[in-house]
Amino acid sequence: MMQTQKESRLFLQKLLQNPPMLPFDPKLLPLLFAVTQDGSNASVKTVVALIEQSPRLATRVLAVANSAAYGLEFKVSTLQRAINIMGLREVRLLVLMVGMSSFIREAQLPKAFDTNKFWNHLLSVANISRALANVFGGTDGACGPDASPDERLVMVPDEAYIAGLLHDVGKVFLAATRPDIWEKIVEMEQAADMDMFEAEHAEWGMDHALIGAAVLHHWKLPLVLTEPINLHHSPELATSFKMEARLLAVANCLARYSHDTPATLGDDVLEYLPHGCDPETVSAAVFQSMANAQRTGIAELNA
Amino acid sequence: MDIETGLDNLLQGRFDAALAEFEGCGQQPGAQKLCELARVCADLSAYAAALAEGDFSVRPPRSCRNFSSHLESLHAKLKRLARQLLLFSAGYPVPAIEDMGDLSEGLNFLINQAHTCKKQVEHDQNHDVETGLMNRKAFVRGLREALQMQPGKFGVLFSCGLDNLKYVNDTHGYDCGDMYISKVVEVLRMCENESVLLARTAGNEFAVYAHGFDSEESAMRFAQDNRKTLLNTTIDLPNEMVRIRASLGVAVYPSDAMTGDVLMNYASHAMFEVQNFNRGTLMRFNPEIYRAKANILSRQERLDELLEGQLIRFAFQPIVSLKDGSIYGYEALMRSTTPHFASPLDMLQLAEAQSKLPQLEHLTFRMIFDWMGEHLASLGSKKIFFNAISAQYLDVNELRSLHPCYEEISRNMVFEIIETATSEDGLARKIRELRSQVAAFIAIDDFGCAHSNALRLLNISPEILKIDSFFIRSIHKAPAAKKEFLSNILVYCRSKGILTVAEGVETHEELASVIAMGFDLAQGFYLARPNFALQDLAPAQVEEISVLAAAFGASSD
Repeated sequence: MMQTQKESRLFLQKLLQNPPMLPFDPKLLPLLFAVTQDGSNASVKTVVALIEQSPRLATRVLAVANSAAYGLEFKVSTLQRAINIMGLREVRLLVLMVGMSSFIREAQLPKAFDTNKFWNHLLSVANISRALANVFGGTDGACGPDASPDERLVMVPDEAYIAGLLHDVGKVFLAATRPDIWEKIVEMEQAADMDMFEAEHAEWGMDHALIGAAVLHHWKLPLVLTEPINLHHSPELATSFKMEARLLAVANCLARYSHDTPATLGDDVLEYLPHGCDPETVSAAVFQSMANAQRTGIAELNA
Repeated sequence: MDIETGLDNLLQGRFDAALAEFEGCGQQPGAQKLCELARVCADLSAYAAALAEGDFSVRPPRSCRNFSSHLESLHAKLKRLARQLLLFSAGYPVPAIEDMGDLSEGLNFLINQAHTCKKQVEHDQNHDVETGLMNRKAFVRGLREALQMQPGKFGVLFSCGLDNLKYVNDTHGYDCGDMYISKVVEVLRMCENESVLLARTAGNEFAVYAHGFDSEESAMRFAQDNRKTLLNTTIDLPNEMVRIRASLGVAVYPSDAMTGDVLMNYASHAMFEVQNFNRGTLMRFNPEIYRAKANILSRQERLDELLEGQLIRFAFQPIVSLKDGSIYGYEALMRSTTPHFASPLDMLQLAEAQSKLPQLEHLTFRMIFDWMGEHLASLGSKKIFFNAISAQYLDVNELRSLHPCYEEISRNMVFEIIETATSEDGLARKIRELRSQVAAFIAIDDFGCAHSNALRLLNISPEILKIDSFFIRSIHKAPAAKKEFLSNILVYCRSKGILTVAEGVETHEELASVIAMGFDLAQGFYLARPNFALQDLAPAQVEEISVLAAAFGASSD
């Protein structure tokens, strides 16, 4: 307890000296984010070349392009075609999903780590985040184009989905690299009925949100993702990407709600909702998105 | 009991004493107020102390409700700063600290702090966090500099692997492991001076370079002396006295190599040799051994590539019935799809040298099961013969995890136990268990070679016995003893209902002989070469077999 800052720093440095590996070239992620920026002139050819280097990724991209979702009558056999059909944003999401799932599969997690539950949470938060980004950032949304610069949402719905998908990645790093601390935290979480985030702070003054942000930054993901992830439990600390941090915090709380009917938002959510946001609109949009997700199945990834 | 003593105490930070004083003068005007103030100060000092120690889970005390909003915002800012410093030390960009308002005075201090952190990071990048010694990268750099300074002198580099660190960690726990390591560091540091470099090159590996000797002998003596000191050092662990056990590999400058990187490489190589063959001793780099091994080392990555990318496929060689030339089955032969491996054997040897046989085996099992799953319908009753490299996956639970239709697939499977599989007793039991659960056949491959001997034939009682090409080669000209031996094996097999396969049939004469001797099946280039597609025999060959079978039929029945 006495030297939490130092201990935390050593942990982070050790983690990053020997960072978790992705099953593809580390240049791919930043490149995909660069290519999908409007007005980017980064080359799609490079993307194809990098994806080709990872057989696992290449087969997944082809499989998805050939899947029923795109309803093509002919078979797509080249990556270039597959990427044209899917669009770079879809490819980006797919790459992240393959990365995450391989990374989770290969992490040496303690037995008690419930991977299925973890995935479900990630997918729910991702889904809700996208819905919230549409509500907040829409033309008449509270953080839309007309809001003051400080309250405008920079993140687009696709990015919100990715942020949701990645927001708890720090938990995996923690559980895989320091199972001892992870177990203590989980014990405390259950015994004292705390939030994992609180338990983490009580145990060693560092939380999974921060760990996740540090590693994602190391993987060269943009700040628009890492900052909200860093602060998804403490959006009040945000100095930049304030609305994004709130959005993710709200989505994280909402994911724990039951989605059988449109929910009445609790204080935990209301506290972080941007000013001027109608709780009922939010509730309805979230309900709708969860219902859609249930129908189309979010199991796309377990492959 | 007076207010002034109380105030003195308050101003000097003795809050409890001050409170006692104030409480003592309960009747005097203002005493109540002073009591409250003393309490607030006491609470605040505890709060501030916790904050100062980096504990941000504390909250501002209740008693200071009046300024609580200031404290809350101060608290939030501190928390944010703490986070930012942490992230900054991990290479994360720090956003502009703009709205720090009332904290701006302390900002300079914190920015300095951040720079210290950054320096610390740079230091940590060159040093091992636990021992403070240099890491490999910094060591090699230092080495290069040392050689440039005094190129005319002799130097010695030794790589030192701790042989019993794992034992200590496993039996006494990591705390004791840490004690062990710090003892090693202590010993190594005894020889430290300005011409000696020390590094921790891996978890259980250290490297020492000493420069400035006048002869090779004195350089070697330095390494020898250090080894002696190390091995004579004991560590008092709570329940056991442990001696340092280390394997040393030595390379000498300039005799063995002229540059730092190469010296380092050679010394590590010598150390690995010691660890593999002569633990606990010291060995000087030996270029001959090195050249022999280098070939294997350079292809290590190729193997990883192959495993990761699943860069293998199967070629199928027909196994033909000698009664009528029909196809009994195919042997699935592993082929790499990259040009880096001369032969499957080459691939196996490399995998074995790197202890990656299980991974390779798992890959081949998975791929053949996938292939079978897709082609089951077209196979009909034909069998696929498949090399179970080390027989590790001949287990019903493993098979189940390979493919949902493992039971159907197994019906068409013949698992070949190859001659290099060594574990005899476990094997027989394993195969009995497998047989009780799935309908796969077992074949003994290369009978007569290495571990494929009569003992195994008796222990396993396979469905199929494949007789090594050593016996088949030029069998028509073979001495009588060899033929008689084979005949006896064939008689034994027939009596037990074991099918026999003649491997490596390469000429018409050999084919005629094995038919004459009464083999059931044959395989070899003369009949068909391995091919990526499943092929039938040419009609002419079917005819040839039928004619031979008819000619010898009467005598063999």
